[in-house]
Amino acid sequence: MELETPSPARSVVEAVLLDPNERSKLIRYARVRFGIDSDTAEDLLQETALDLLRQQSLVRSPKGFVFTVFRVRCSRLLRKNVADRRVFAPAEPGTRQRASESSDSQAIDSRLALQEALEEVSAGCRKLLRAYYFEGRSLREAADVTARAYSGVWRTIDRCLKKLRQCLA
Amino acid sequence: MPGVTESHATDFALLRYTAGELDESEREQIHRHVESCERCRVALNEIRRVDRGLRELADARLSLPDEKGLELPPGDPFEKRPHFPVWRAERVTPAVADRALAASERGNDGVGSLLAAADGPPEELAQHLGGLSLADPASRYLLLYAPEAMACRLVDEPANCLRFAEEMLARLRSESSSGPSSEAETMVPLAMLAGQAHLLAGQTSNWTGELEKGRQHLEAAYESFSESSDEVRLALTEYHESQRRSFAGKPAEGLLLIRRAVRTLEIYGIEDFVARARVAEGIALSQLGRDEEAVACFRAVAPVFESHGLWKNYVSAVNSLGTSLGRLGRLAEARREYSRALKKVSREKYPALLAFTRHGLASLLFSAGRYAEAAKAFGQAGALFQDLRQVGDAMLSWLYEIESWARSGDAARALHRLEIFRAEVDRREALDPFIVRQLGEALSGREPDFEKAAELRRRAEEMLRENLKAASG
Repeated sequence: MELETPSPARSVVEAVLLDPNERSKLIRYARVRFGIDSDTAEDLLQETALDLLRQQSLVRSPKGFVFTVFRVRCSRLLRKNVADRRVFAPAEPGTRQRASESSDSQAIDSRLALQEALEEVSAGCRKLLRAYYFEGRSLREAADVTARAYSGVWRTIDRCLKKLRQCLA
Repeated sequence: MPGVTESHATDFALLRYTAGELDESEREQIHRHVESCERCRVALNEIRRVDRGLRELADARLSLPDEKGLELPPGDPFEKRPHFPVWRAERVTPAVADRALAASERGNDGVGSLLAAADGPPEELAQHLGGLSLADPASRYLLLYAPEAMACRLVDEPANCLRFAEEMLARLRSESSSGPSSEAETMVPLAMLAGQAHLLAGQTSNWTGELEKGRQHLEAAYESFSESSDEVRLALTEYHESQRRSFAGKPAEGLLLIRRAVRTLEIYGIEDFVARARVAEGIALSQLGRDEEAVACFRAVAPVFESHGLWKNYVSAVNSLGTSLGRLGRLAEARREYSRALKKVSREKYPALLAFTRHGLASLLFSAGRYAEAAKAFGQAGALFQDLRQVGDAMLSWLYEIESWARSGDAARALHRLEIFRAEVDRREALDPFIVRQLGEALSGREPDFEKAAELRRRAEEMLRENLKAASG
């Protein structure tokens, strides 16, 4: 008898979202990273499952995709609650590192946080960062590229770094 | 530029310290200060984290938000990404999620027969779609997945794809008036299905060159995906709209849109779509005259396509890379890229792609003025297309071959090839014979009129493309 091949969506949902260990990891992550309570995190997980089914043809790295969708949902909820001034209990200090045990998740988390933070800084600052980090220029050359006086570069970067630090903190 | 102000190190000084850009005395000053200042030690750790993150982004070639702060004109339907609602009215319980999983599997199972109906007579597809109950979540998953499967046929069956999208839209219009079921709506909103149908119609219209029709469909898709809070598909719509704007002569807007799309696709780790989007970015850059940056885009994606076995995309990236390198005058480099590609694309498995690669190389040589070499390469591409019975593509290659021989000074060979071409045109009634006769006159004589020949070639090219489009439906 031929064995039925499980569909990608089923295998991902079973491996990631129905596995108690994976679930509890994600729920703990939501609590520690965003201060989201377990019941709310459970709801977000169900919504993540629906997203996964809707986008199954686009899933390349199932665990990474689930984590990303879940994190985006957590982050949106947090932003909305901050806007509504309904903030969840803050994470305990020192627990951030334990929030997501897999190094993949940690890497995705840092990258997403940084990308979100970069959306918040000014266009001038992004231009400087692009020249410095992405095009390998020195800070002096970056100033030339952005047609800024070198004395102005440090102020722009100083402001930008403060904002990035705040967003990542 | 102060390193330490009001008794604390500036963030900028700490960044330069981290990057090793300070001179000895500044470095020593910061080092001593950080040793004794808790606040600056914390700041230094945070800056190291920011610095490490930015370096990782740069290593992974991920994107920063656009550097110019360019914006689309106010009122442009793609001006901004919408803000999504966070909480939906219906709570998703584990039981709903379980039922959604089962429904998605049933929907997936039905894709094959729906696509088979799309191959049949028009009424068969309408009947099949009409028989689906959209109160059943499985039907919704089926209609969510089917346009994606249909899009894989776009190159070979554009007319079928457009018909499928239009029939699906007609079916959805008839449903919205009868009211959706709430659980099915929670699982797959009707707006998302409408977005899928419009997206398929939009990308098909782009492919067939109907850019105005493409605009209407892509705008409708964007609105539908906004309504259904589908961030990933919004990015895919931006990708197609970016290509449309570049083709329509608005590459700056295309660039802005594609960079927005890339950031989302990167976040979700959809590597192959990031690579496709990078090609669109490269095309926009190249149209803006920024070929150096375009080259970097095309170079970065070729290995991704290769590793995913996406050879059609690989060849398109190599052809674009060749064009940009050619424009920068880096002919030798471009030829190396082509010869690498010609070795990689299997003749047995992908003969058409090999023909397109050879045609790309020939076009590069032609635009670099290496006419004799171009003529040979066009001849080889034409022969490959002929073997594949891609007559229109073969004839396009031969047209260029004839002009290339003439421009290389080998008039006899040009006229000989023209005679063979004329016989082919007569046999297939593929072109107005008057154009071929005029082409012969332009290339004959002591001083061939290359300007006129090029103009006639362009007209013939347009006619052949129109015929090709008509033949493909």
